[in-house]
Amino acid sequence: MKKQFLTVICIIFISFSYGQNKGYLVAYPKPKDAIIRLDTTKIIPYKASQIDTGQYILKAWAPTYNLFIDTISISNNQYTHSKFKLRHTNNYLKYRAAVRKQKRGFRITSGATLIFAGLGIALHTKTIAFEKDAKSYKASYLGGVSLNDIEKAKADYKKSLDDFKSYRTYRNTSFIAATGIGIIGGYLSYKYYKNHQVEYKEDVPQLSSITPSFDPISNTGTLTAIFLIK
Amino acid sequence: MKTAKIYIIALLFIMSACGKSEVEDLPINNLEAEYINSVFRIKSVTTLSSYNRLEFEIKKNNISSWNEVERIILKRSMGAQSLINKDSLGLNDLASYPSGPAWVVLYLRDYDLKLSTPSDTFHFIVP
Repeated sequence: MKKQFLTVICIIFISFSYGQNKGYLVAYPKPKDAIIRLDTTKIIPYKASQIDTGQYILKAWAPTYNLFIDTISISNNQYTHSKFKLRHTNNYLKYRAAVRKQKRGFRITSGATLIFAGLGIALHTKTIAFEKDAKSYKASYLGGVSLNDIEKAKADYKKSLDDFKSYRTYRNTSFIAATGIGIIGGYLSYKYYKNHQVEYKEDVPQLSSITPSFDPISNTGTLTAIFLIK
Repeated sequence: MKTAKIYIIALLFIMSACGKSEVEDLPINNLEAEYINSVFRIKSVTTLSSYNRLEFEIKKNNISSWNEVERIILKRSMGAQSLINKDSLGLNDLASYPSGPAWVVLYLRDYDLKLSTPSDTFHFIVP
């Protein structure tokens, strides 16, 4: 009798254990490598995780981002898709702004250099066109027999030559300006960059993560860990 | 820094390539009005029984557009003109001029029938 009773209890326990309702959760965080925890269970992003039905607190975090918290309901045999985007911390946003300011000189220098270099290339194209015209009119002048043909070709040649010389001067000026701005601006920007170093200190990690990796070439393993402080 | 170096080297390279563009000075076309007489030369005028033989010379090497020339035209004082083949071995003109002062003018004509500047008028006396 006792044995039968124990058997019934075991059957009830097993059916209760295996008969627990389960659903699936797929999390789509941005950034993709965010650490996700559903209460205490770690969730792998972009993969379906089988979870017992019920209400959970989903937490997600990644370095440089604020902790994301949401409530998730898992229904029986249902897929729950959770798509969310983490926001950068104010600390990180300030750091980014400081880095942008630090590199502003390079951006201005490279922009101005590119503008003058582009202008130089455009003027070079015009210069080459006038050079070709001048050479063509020169051939017409030398091949002319009648006075009209000779004088017309000569006048056209002179005009093209004047244009060629003007545009050559503009072009050379543009390239000299581009080079000058590139060298001087680049140097000053570099000095500013060196003298205004900015540093980013990560806020306290909000969630922990341990990521093992193995390098088959050097036969060395690495364990990257972010620890939960709170 | 590496990017900056590449950037500056590329600019200097473009500049050096641009420096090569040059248009040479315009050589002189001797068929221009002020130089035309440098290509024609009257060598001699010979009086024969009833004709005058006028020998002249054209300095082909001084004419850059010689390939464009189709004919030589010799205009005479009595009104008639002669079209002379530019490749003739001896450049001369046989004509009967009335006694007294006479002149000739030389032209070149291209394939479009356009005339060059005339040479200076060459005057001579027919006995």
